[in-house]
Amino acid sequence: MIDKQLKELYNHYKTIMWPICTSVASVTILIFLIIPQLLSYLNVRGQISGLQTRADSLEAKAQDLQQMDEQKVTQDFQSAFTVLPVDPEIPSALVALQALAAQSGLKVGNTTYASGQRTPGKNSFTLNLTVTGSITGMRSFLMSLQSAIRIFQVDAISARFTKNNTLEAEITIAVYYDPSTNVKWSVEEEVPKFSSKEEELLTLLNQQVDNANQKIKAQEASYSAVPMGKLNLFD
Amino acid sequence: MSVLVINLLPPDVLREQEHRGKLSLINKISVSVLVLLTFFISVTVALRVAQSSELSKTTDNFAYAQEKISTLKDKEEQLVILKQRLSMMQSLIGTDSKKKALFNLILYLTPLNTQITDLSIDKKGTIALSFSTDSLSNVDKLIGDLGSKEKNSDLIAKIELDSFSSGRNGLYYTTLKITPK
Repeated sequence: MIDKQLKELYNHYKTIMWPICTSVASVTILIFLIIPQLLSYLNVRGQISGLQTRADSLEAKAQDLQQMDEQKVTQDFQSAFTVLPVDPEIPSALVALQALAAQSGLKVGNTTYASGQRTPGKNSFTLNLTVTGSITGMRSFLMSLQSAIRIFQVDAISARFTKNNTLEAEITIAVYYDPSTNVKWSVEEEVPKFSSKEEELLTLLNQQVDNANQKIKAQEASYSAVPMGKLNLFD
Repeated sequence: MSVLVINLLPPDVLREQEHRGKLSLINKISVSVLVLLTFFISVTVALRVAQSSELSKTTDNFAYAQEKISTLKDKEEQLVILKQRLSMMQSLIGTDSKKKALFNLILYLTPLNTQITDLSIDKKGTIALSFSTDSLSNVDKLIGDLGSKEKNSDLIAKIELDSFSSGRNGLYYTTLKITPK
């Protein structure tokens, strides 16, 4: 009985079953397979494009870094750390100041040290220098501080003048250093570029350090010309 | 002359033929749709396979570029530190230029026959100037020059007379307080 009913049903609907099944299958395949795959394809295409752009910029960065003159970078680096060192290096600062004063024709009297400020970016200590000499010498000394081997900034001046155009002055000089050497490095950050002012400053720093080194060498040469001790130990 | 067409087939059979024709058309359309879908599926699969290969290649390129940059890390760090230090130096250098300029200015503007006894510049740049001269016009000239924008290079904001006296020796003793701009 049921078989007969089923057979009748089949005979009645057999002509439209195939088109209906085909339509349902087509819509299902379209919605659940083709469209998601196409959307996924478009999404991944965007990712590939972004990744390729990043890879290209990294390649360009690597090329920039490889083309840089390593010797110049090292020299600039060393000069920068000589002029603004990590540690206070008080004795060398004192020697440099005294040398500048002597070159300007001033006599250096007392020198006292005072610890200065320790704010990030402005670490310094203070040297109080007492000098005597001519007014011209004093002007020359103040000017020479600009091209010194350290960053010397005049905090205060107290000068007493005498009748024969000489003076005795107490100069308070702040000497800067910078202990920070940490760097937050990221692969994808751009290579730092130096502005024209920074390049000029670098050239100036290199010149100052070169001049100072030459003077030191000349001094050392003059010391070595003086015989030290006995030539013959058995005399 | 018009042709008369007489169909001797019974109407039932004619209807049956028409019905079969329609069904045949529907079946042909269904098969075409299935074939098209199969084609789209194959194209989609092919695109995804090609894309997968491209993604893998691009990922490798990116990893290679990253590694290349990592080998140059030291050099780049040097540059970053150098840039930071230069920036700091630029902010520090020249902060005392006004004090030096004022010191030189006062020496330059001091008239002849005027003796500076004391000149001090404090941390804020305020100047205490003591001088003596045998002429009131020298006192006037010095104060006037220090107060003139053209002569003082616009470095001075205020001049205050702290003290003024004349001695038995005929000299005039003046103390000024000069505030910079």
